[in-house]
This record gives sequence, C-alpha cells and structure tokens, in this order.
Amino acid sequence: MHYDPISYFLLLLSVCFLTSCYSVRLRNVNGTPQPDPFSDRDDYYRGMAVVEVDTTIGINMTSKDFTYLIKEKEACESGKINIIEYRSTFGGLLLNAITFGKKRKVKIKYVCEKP
Amino acid sequence: MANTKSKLLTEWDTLHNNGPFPLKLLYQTKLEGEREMPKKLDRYNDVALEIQRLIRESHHAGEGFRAYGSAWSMNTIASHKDRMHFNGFMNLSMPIRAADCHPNNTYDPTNLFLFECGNTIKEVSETLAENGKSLKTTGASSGQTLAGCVSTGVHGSALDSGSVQDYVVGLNLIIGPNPNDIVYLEPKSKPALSDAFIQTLNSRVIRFQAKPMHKERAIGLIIIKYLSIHTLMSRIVW
Ligand SMILES: Cc1cc2nc3c(=O)[nH]c(=O)nc-3n(C[C@H](O)[C@H](O)[C@H](O)COP(=O)(O)OP(=O)(O)OC[C@H]3O[C@@H](n4cnc5c(N)ncnc54)[C@H](O)[C@@H]3O)c2cc1C
Repeated sequence: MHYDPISYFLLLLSVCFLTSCYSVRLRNVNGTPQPDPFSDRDDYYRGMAVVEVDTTIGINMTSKDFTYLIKEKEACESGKINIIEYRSTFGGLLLNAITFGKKRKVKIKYVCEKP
Repeated sequence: MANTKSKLLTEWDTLHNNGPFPLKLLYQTKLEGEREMPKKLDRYNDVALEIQRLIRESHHAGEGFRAYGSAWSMNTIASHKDRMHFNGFMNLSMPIRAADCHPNNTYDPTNLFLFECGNTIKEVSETLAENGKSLKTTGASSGQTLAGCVSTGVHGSALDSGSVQDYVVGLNLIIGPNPNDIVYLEPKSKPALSDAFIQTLNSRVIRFQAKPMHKERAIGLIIIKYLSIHTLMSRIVW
C-alpha cells in the first residue's frame, strides 16, 4: 500500500482538530436567561442576550487560575449568570503548548439572569 | 424612567420560524433600575407611562402597535405589520397584602399576587414557590409569558382546573395613551382589590357583571398589566 506522509499528517491534524474542539455548557435549572428580542442569532442562544469572551490571557507558571469578573452591563443587567459555555479549541491547545502554558485562549459565552 | 429601544426591521418571526411576517419597528422596554426606583409599584406605574408614550407615538404615525411575549405561538397571532413590542422585561411581581383587598373579597389574600405581563410561567412558578404556593396545573415548557398564555388560553389544564386564564381574577389593562386609559377590571360579584390599592396603580376601576362561573375556582389572583390591545377584552372569559 502506498503511504503518503502528507495525507497522513493532514489526517492526524484533522483528527486532533476535531477531537480537541468541544464545548461544555452549564445552565441553571432555576431562573430565566436574559432575553434579547433584537438578536438575530440562530443557534442555541436564539433570542438570548449573549456575552462572548474571546481573548488570550497570560498565566504565569505558578498561578493556576484566573478570575474573570462578570460586570453588570447591557447584556448582563442582573450581573448574575444563567448559562455559561466554555469552548476548547485546537488553536487554544496549540497556543498553550507552544507558550508552555503562559498564554491561554479563553473562549466563553455566557447569558445572564433576566433582570 | 423606563427605557425603550427600537429597531427598524422588515420582518419578524416566531420562536419556531412560522414566519417571517412583515414588521416595521420592534420595541423593547426595560423597567427603571431598582437602585434608581426602589419601589416596585413606582416601576410598575412608570413603565405604564412609557407604554402609553409608545402607543401615542404609534398612533401619531398612523401605525398599529401590538404586544407580544415569548413569540411561542406558532402562527401569525402575535405579529403586526407595523410595530411590535416585546414585553419580556416587564416582569414585576408582588404578593397582595390583606390590607389591600376589597372589603367583600372572598379570596384567601395569601393566594393573591400581582404579576406583570412579561413574567414567564417559570418566573411565576418561582415567585409562587418562594411564597409556598404553586399553579395548580402547568404545561410542558415554561418560557411562555403570562399575558401570552392568558390571551391564548393555554398552558396546562386538568379535569378539575383550567389553564392560566382561569387563575386570573383581575386585569390591569392599558387601553390607550390618555391618563384615563389604564383600567383595572374585575367581576362585581367577586371583587379582589380595594379601591385605594387600585388607585396606587393609577387605574380606573371597572367592576362588571360577570356571567356566573360554572365552577368555583379557589385559586388565587393574578393581575396582569396588559398592553393596549383593544380586542383583548372581548377575549377574556370569566
Ligand atoms: C416549545 C413550546 C412549548 C409549549 N408548551 C405548551 C404546553 O405545554 N401547553 C400549552 O397549553 N401550550 C404550550 N405551548 C403554546 C404556548 O403556550 C402558547 O403559544 C402561548 O400563547 C405562548 O405565549 P407567549 O408568551 O409566547 O405569547 P406570544 O406568542 O408572544 O403571544 C400570544 C398572543 O398574546 C398576545 N400578547 C402577549 N403579550 C401580551 C400583552 N402583554 N398584552 C396583550 N396581548 C399580549 C400577543 O399579541 C398574541 O396575540 C408551547 C409552545 C412552544 C413553542
């Protein structure tokens, strides 16, 4: 059988890409998500006021956590969370690996409690 | 002061995409913040003035104005080709005190609550649970608004109790832009609220002769601040 290293590499890459990309969502059983009638989203968050955080944070070798403050703003009037979704991506893992954990990609979506 | 935002649109759709249906302008009104206006009744009356302003604005523009809740009705009923108003943020609720009941009130005051139109069934159930109460029946999902349920006669019925509209013993309606256009309706034979309390809602009281109910329903009061739907009154069956 002919063995093509490039296709093998691409296959491996797409397997890594697909398997490292996932989301975990936490949702309150109580309470109601803040609605947004003006939103034109068509996904799980249809009609909800979603806040998206897509950023890179710096974490030094010793600190193991990072606190992100949820502030009251238009899309989060109550300042209380109803749904939060954390997404892990291949790019994020790669960034983590090549910076030896100093830089972390943070991709979060959250919806606050209806005020 | 309650705050309204609007968005120019060409179409609007229900949650389950039964449309799209034509629409020109979509409004949403948020209540004044608790910190700026701590008393619920003040916020309740304040947002009523804002809704009246929007009615006036639509009237002057020669356009229609229709309230909607969660857009869960799977047809055109909630849509209007001109202007629509999303009510979800109008979700105040409070128990009624015995002192605020009518002298001839026959309901147990602890069963009486005031709910604003945009409360979802889930919010209603949570408020009731905090007070050791519950709705007698409920449907499968609970994101519908109280006003949406009452005006379509839905959400849970059993052999011995009806759906949401059957819990209502009084209605607070905004029927137009003028000071006299906020009315509180309840049957003459079963008054629930005192005139003094109704006055604090800046409302004109209308006690009407209701058709006798085929069955006595003991469950408590839900009073709803409704938006101006002139046809709504004809849809209320006591
Ligand atoms: C996923 C899902 C589950 C459901 N489950 C059930 C169930 O278990 N049992 C059941 O009986 N039904 C059920 N329904 C039907 C649903 O309860 C009704 O369609 C209900 O009318 C939806 O309420 P809404 O707040 O979305 O109202 P909308 O669809 O937004 O509006 C309904 C009507 O009410 C009017 N309206 C709304 N608010 C006001 C207001 N403040 N003033 C004046 N008029 C107003 C609108 O103009 C419109 O005519 C379900 C629907 C869905 C989509």
